[in-house]
Amino acid sequence: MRTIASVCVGLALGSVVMAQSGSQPPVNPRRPIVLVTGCARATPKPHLWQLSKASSRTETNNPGITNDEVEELKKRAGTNANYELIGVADFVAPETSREIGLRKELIPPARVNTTSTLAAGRRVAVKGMLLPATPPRINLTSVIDLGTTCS
Amino acid sequence: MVRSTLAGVGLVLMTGASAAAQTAAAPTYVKDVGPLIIEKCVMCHRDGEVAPMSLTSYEETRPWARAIKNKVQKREMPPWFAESRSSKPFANDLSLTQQQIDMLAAWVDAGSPRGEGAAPQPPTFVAGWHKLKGRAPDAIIEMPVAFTVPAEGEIPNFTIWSDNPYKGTDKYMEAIELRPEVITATHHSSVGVRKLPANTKLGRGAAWKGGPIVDSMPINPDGTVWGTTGDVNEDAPATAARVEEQRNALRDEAFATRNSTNLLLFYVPGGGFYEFPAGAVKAIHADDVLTWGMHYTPTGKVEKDRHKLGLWFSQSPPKHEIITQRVGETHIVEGKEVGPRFVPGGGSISNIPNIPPLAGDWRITGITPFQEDTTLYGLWPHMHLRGKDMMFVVTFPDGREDVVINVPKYDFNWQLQYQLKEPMKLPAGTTIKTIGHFDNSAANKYNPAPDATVYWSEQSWDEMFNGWMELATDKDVIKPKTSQN
Repeated sequence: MRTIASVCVGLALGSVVMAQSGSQPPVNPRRPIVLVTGCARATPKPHLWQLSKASSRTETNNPGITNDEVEELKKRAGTNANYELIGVADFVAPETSREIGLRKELIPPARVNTTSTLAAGRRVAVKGMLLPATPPRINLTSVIDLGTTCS
Repeated sequence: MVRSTLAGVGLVLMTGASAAAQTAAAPTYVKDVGPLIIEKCVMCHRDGEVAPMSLTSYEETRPWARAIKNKVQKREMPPWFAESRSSKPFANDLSLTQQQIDMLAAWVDAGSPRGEGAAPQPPTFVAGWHKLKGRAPDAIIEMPVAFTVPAEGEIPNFTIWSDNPYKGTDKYMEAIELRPEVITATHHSSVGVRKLPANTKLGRGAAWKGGPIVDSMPINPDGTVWGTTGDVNEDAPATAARVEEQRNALRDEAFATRNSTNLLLFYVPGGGFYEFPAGAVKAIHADDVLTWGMHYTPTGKVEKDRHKLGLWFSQSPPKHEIITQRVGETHIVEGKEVGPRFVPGGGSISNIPNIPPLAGDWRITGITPFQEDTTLYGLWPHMHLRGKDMMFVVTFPDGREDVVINVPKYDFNWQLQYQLKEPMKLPAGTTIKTIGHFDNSAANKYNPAPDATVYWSEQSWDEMFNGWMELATDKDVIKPKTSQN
C-alpha cells in the first residue's frame, strides 16, 4: 500500500518537475489583422461591443483603414456573422470610454480623445487583430463610420 | 492660583516629556537618512556627475538639509514622474514614499542629527561611469571624433557614424551606458546600430549641411554625404512646396515606428544607462555600423566632447534581442482617426496634423498592435517643450485594459526611461496605446512660441510624440551558434 502511494507521489512529483522544467509560456500563433464591416452594438459591459450582420472579412497588412479602402467597404454585403469587439475605448463616446479600465480616474471628460465612430446602430468598418473566441473577437486598431444606420 | 501653578508645572512636565520622546524618535543620518540618500540620490549627487552638489557623506549632506526637505516635499527631487498608483512597478524607481518624505522632514526639523555609530558608505562606483553594474564595462567604444562645441550659437541635431570594432561577430550586451565627456554641453544624445547604406563607405564629409567636416560619414560613390537633408529652419528652402516636402520628411522620421537604425540607448542628463534581465540583450550585429546622434548646447565657452559607450557583455546565454520601437501605427488626433499613408520601402505612417497656435490641451493617441507574443521591458515617454502628459495602456486579448505607465506631468528637462521591474508579457493580439496631450498655449511657461504652429521633428522647437518601448518578440530566439560574447 505504502509502495503504491509512494509510486503515485513519485509519478505526480515527476509530472510537476517535468511541467516546471519545460514550463514555457504557451506560444500563440500570429494574429492576423482583418478588415470587416457590420453593425455596431453595445453590450452591458462598456469594454465589449458586438459587430453583427458582419460582411466577409479580408486580411490586411496595416492596422489603419485608408481612404482607398472606404469605397470598397461600403459595397460589402452583410451576413449572419457576428464578432465581439474589444479595445473599443478610443472609438466609443467619451462617457463610455471613461467607464473602461482606469480611464475615469485618470482622464477628465474634457481631455478624452475618442472618435465616437463606434456608435450603437451604425454601420461601421473595423480593423483589428482577429482572436479565437466564440464569436470571433477583434482587438480594434481602426474604426470608421460608413455613413448609414443599420436596419 | 494654586491650581493654575500646579497646572503650569504639569504642562511643563508634559511638554518636557513629549520633547524628550520626540528627540529620542528623531531620525538620524546614520540610521535613517544616509541609507535613503545613498539609495536614491548619490548616483547623480557625487563628484563629476550632473547634480550641483555631492551628498555622499553626512558632512556633505548636512549643509543642504533644508534644501533637501524643500525639494522632496515638493516632489521635485528625486526626479520621477510616473504616477505610482496606476503605473506598474519599475526597477529604477527613484521616487520617495510619503513616509520617507516625512522622515526626511522630521530629520531636518530635529536639527539634522548625525546619530551614533558609523555612517553608511556609498557604494564604490566605477570611475567615469554613472550607474552601478558591479564591474567596469567589458568594452568601451568611443565616438569617432572629438567634437568641438562652439561657445555660442545653435547647433542642429546631427549624426556621425563609426565602424564596428567587432565586425564579423555578433555582440550581446546585458547593460549599456552612454557617457558624454562634457555633460554640461550635451543636451541629449543617442547611439544606435544599423547597416551601412548601400553603395556607401565611411569617409570625410560634413556632419550636417554646412557643418564641420568629420572623418566618419557615409559617403556616396559621387562623394556626397548620404542622407544629409539639411534642416528646415537652417536651410531656408526657396519655395513653399520645398518647405512642405522637408517638413513631411521630418514628420515621417519623427513618427516612424521602426526605421533602419535600431536605437541602443539614449542619453539625457542623469540617464543614459540601461540594464536588462538575464538573457535579454541589446545587440551589435556582425555587419552593423554605429550611429551617434548628437544634440549639443553651447555653454558659453568652447568645449570638446567625445562620448563613450560602455558595454557590459551578457554573462548569461543571450536569448532575446531587445528592440526599441515607437508606439503609433495608427493615430487619433483631436477626436479624429488619422488615416495612414504608405511610405517607400514598406510600412505606413500616419498623416499627423501640426499642433495649432495657442492649443492648450491638444489630444493625440497612438495605437500599435502586437501580432506576435511580445515581452515589454521598458518605456520612455518622449515629447518636447509642449508635452504635457503621456500614458501607456494595453488591451489584452480578453478585453481587459491595463495601465502600464501614467506620466501626468511630463517634464522635458527630465526625460526618464522607465525599466519595468518585471518584464510584461503581451500575448499575441494585445494592443498598446499612448494617450498624450500638448500645451501650445501661453500658459505653458516652457513654450517658446505660443502663437506659432508646431511642426514635428527632432528639433526641440518642434514636437515629438514618442512612446518608446524596449521589447522583444518572443519567437525570435537568438541561436546559440551566433552567440559570441
